[in-house]
Amino acid sequence: MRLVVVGQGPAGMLTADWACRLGAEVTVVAAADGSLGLWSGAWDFRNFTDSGEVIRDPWQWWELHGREHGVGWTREHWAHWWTRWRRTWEAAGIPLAGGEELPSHNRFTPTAVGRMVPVFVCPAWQWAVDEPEPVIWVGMEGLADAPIELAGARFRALTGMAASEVCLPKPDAWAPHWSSLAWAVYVESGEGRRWLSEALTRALGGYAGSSPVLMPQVLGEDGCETLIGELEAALERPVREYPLLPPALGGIRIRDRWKRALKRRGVSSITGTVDAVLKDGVHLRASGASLPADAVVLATGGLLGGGLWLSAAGELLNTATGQTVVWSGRMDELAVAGIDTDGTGYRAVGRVVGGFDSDRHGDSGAVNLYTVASAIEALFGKQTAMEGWGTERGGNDGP
Amino acid sequence: MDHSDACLKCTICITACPVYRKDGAFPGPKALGPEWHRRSLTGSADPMDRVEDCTFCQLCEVACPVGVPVAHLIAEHKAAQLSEQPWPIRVRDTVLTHPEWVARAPTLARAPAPVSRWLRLSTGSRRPSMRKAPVSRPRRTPGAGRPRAALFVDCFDRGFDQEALTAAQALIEVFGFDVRRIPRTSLCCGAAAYASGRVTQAGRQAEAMGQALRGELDGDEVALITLNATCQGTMADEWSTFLGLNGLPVPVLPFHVFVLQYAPDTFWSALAPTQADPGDWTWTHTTCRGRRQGDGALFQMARRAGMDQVEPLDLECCGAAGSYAFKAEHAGTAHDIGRPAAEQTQGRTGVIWVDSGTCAVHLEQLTGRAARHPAYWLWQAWQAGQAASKGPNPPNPAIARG
Ligand code: SF4
Ligand code: SF4
Repeated sequence: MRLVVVGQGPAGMLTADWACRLGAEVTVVAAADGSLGLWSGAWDFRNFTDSGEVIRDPWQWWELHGREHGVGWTREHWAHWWTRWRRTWEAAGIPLAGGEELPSHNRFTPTAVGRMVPVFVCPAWQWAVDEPEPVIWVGMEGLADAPIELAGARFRALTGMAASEVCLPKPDAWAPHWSSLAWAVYVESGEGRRWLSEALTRALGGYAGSSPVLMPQVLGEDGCETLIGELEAALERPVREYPLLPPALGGIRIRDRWKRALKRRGVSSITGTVDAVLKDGVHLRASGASLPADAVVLATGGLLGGGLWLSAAGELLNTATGQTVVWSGRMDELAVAGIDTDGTGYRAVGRVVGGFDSDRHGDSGAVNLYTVASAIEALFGKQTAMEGWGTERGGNDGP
Repeated sequence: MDHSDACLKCTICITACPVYRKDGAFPGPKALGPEWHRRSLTGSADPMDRVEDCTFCQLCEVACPVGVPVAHLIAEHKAAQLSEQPWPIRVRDTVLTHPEWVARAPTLARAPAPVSRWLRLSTGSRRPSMRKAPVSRPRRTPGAGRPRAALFVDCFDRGFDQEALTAAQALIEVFGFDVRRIPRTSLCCGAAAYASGRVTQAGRQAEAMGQALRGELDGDEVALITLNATCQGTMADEWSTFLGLNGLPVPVLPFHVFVLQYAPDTFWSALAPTQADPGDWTWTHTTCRGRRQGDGALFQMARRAGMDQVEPLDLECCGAAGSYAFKAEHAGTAHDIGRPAAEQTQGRTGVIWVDSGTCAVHLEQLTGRAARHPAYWLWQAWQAGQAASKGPNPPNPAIARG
């Protein structure tokens, strides 16, 4: 099967990955980079009830309320897809926090301003715990995104736990335009590594105990695990990161590793804007070329995709402008929304599909998982989607 | 629609910039492009210090979700600081932005050390040298009724790699086409000048090239096939979008895109592996400018050609960026950017397929592995296949030997 996936955010990448593992010849078409570089990498299951209370057991929540959202999956079905997702990331070299195969409940992870928010699974470099504990909160002079006094005070007030704030003086190489990515590049260099380990050892000299050190998310890119290991050995305490505003290193690490893994399995990509989905492929706007395909999956939603958001009420919104698109509700009339079709159906995946409200509910990971898995089940058949994965690393090596 | 002022400050572009990731003093695409542009609209367009360190790889522009022409805004920004450059650099850049002169007199690339130093040419970056061994191509006479294609002669290959051109032509003929190489005289599409911020000069060069090509094309060619991703992008995209010129009357296609589309199945099955050792690797690298077209087609081509162990290089840009690596002040960054290729290939044997001549020179230096245009490697595989099929089987009738 020749599959075209439009978009390269988390949902597009996941669709491409799974379809390739199940034997499809996959081409990703995207007009721009996806949203991964803007996001820390946390995958939420369901964090809040409709009235905003924190959910500790998302498994149970979906079992009790899934049907209200049109999701009839059992606990086992969720477990199957969460396991697949976890293995997919691990195979791409993205380590996940929390040791056990699948968490039984939500944990808590910090924000840059000291709030603790629920999370289901996040990458291993990010701090996530069952219950808050005393911490050492580290910031750096010249890194405005990490206001540690504010964060420390907030953390103490909200959790009742102790937090010590430590601010490292800025290195000589520092420049005012440094974003978190520039910090990460420096910290990963030979000079930066020396600077960081010396500055941290000096700053933490007076602290007894073994409470974890929370660092702003600037601990390098590809070498982040090595760097964390070195710091833990030098400081003799756990070292983890808290996420910052974009550019988000967590998402950049995930994007780069995942893209590399997909590329090695033969997923190709094309830069371009799809303006029509046709029976035998998609039409690209600028080049006027057509790309043959047996099936098409649209993953154009997300934060900046400029895609379409089909609301619960059946209302179609343009996610870039927020404007309502006038539409009769028939898939074959999507032309009015800028994507033409000759009546051919396609699947739409991602967190802005259907009647979900992920920003409010904290369920973007689950919505991505659900929509992508549903597309995979429809394209390959339920049985293949459940059993066709072959060996642990995916059974299929691409075309 | 003009998106010059559409920046949302999302920072995606800086996550895509290879220079930003190597050099903490580089302000990055957002500051150099849209932010400078906004200031310039209100009259304060003083150029920033490090603007010329941008390689013009355009990866920032490809990444931007709202279509800000980030790299092209940076080119305008570079234009604003040209008059401040010391004059040895101006002399040097005048030569480097006229690769069509170098193509006519390739010995220009061999400037002696004192001259190089004065011109601030890098002495650490390898310069191109003439590819020695000629590729022999079976002669054939144009035939009536055969489809036609034009092969674009870029400056690098005209000056330094006639082998790649001959190999490409031979292959396209094997697919059943009549091929002509154009333009006959050495001209430049304007890419080098644009990358250095000499936008007006780029426009003049492009105009002359456009005229020559339109004069030499008959209009019934299936495509104008290029061996260099940068020239392809410049002619197919930049001429109309940024230089206000007309496009060409036939599609401008990268060689590998043409091959994947037009090579018959019998071609692929007639190839034989060329690895010296079955354990050898084939690394593919789509150049930064080639990425506008996407990534993965070169990899597919190598797999389709029967290479067993194929791996893409883990690079978005190798750092060569046209003449960037040849400039003394940029050589360090250029080598840093490409270093992952050396790490990736270390301890393994194999060759690199890459769709640009200057990138090939740079990658050869960094990795110590032979790096050539895919046309060259495919031709080797075809010839190996022909040699293997001699004897019991008759030679492939697709080639009319002259
Ligand atoms: S990617 Fe585009 S919108 Fe985002 S900061 Fe860069 S130029 Fe602005
Ligand atoms: S063109 Fe390339 S080097 Fe220049 S700012 Fe953009 S991404 Fe960076």
